[in-house]
Amino acid sequence: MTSRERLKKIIAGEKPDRCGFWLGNPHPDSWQGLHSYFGTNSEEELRLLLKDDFRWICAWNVYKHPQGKPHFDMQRPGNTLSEGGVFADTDSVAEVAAFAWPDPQYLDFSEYRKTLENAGDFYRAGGLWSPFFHELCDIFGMENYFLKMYLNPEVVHAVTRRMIDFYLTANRLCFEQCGNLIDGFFFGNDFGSQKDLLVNPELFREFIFPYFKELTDLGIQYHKQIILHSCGSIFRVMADLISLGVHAFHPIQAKAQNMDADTLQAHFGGKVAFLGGIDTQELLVNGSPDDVIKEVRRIKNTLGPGIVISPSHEALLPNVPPQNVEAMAYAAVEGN
Amino acid sequence: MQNQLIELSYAIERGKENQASSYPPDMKDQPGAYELTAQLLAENVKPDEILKQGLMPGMQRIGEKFAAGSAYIPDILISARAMKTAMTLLKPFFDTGEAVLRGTIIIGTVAGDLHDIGKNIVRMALEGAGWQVIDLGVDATSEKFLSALQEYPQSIVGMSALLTTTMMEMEKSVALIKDKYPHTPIFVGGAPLTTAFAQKIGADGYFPDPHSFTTHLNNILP
Repeated sequence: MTSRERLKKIIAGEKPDRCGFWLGNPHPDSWQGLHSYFGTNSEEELRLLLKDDFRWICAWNVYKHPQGKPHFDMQRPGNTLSEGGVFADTDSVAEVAAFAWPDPQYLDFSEYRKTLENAGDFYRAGGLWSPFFHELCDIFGMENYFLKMYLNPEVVHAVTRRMIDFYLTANRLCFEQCGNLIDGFFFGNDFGSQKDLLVNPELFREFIFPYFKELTDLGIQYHKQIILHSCGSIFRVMADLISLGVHAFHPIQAKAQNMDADTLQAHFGGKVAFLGGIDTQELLVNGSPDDVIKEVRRIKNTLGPGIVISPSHEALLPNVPPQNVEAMAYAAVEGN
Repeated sequence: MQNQLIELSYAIERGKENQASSYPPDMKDQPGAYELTAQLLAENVKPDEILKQGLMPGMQRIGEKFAAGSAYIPDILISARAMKTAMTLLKPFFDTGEAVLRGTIIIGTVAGDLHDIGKNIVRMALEGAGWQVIDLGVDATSEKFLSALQEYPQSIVGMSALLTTTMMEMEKSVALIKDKYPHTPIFVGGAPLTTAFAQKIGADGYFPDPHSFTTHLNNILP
């Protein structure tokens, strides 16, 4: 069974030959240490060595504005999460309409398609990252965004509508032009904190789910498996998200509330696949390779075979010892 | 008067800022925190009393709900907004010393870390509990904490970090602060932290949520 076939089966809820493995997307500062330890020279060489089944091929740079403008020009003075962007003080839907929203004519998937064509026989998770929740936080400022849900819902809906319309158009073009080169529509929004959701479930249902469903519906229409990335504890809305079309959750922040393997298996086992789960907040940073092997085996026993073993946050930081990465990869692909 | 203070605390808990505010819909056209505070002041109720018996109980209750998982960040934000508006009426009395806040806390997200959601929620909870908060923002170096302590030497310090890499910065900051200000209490918080880590780096405590932090402070400095 190839990596591609294996992961398609896992995410479809079918029995694979073994659990899957994804190294994640190590932080740029981590690669030198990893290459030095493993004796590799390129990202792909390391992934092949570790028997990585998954390739995250995100359509990052497909908006080619002639003046190099980003698709959403946030106009933020800083980069903290609470820093307000262009709509920080907006209370008018007309002002939203007047904003320079992205023009789909500048979308170009030709280079992206070539990357996909050269991806090899691995599972290809692609499409635009489409992080509308994050971008709403950026364009309003997180605190403004949350307050406006209560104080000016019309403006929140108006901005969300524009963002989602762009992502629907862009992903549709992407799926049409890249066809079966993409297996999973992998998109991301961090909905949770360590302890719970960032916003009330009721607010989720009004301001997030309807738009989220439009994205999942689009992916399903183009026969993509739907993989949702969300850090933090999203336990309270996982059942809703499954009903909206999610086939797999990533990254399973193991130490966040109710995101441990036992709880997830008890509530969602057999209903959805999992991608992640190996704790990066304590285990991979401070544990020994033996600790890591034991934990990977425990997670496989609990959630397997419907699991792709991977760090509980994809951006492995440079303080994770390469020995622990090796242990994680070894235990992920051993046995069935 | 007691009923008005209770009404004020309810307006804070529900995030009813003023009469014109559209939120919450079930309190439409009712007086909000601003009008209730103004009314209490007009009746010569002491600003201290308004703070302690009107504003703080409302923030305390929303904080308890947040800790229990029945309220979320937007609820804290809307309550804090109502409190901030009410405080504009009380500020002159605190400025002249006619009324006093509980004390001063210097907070910041440590050097190298730009995550400020948790720190901001803690700030709102502390202000809601009657503390003056000196917020150093994100990427706060040891030098920034020391400089703030020079200006507010009797303060408590609170540090936040989200990343396993930046939490190590706390160890350095705690050591430097304790070296110069050995009696300054330092508390830490953030997703990857634990009580064991706080002990290891010489901090005086770790709290997993804003409510447990403010409750602890209220207990040690009532």
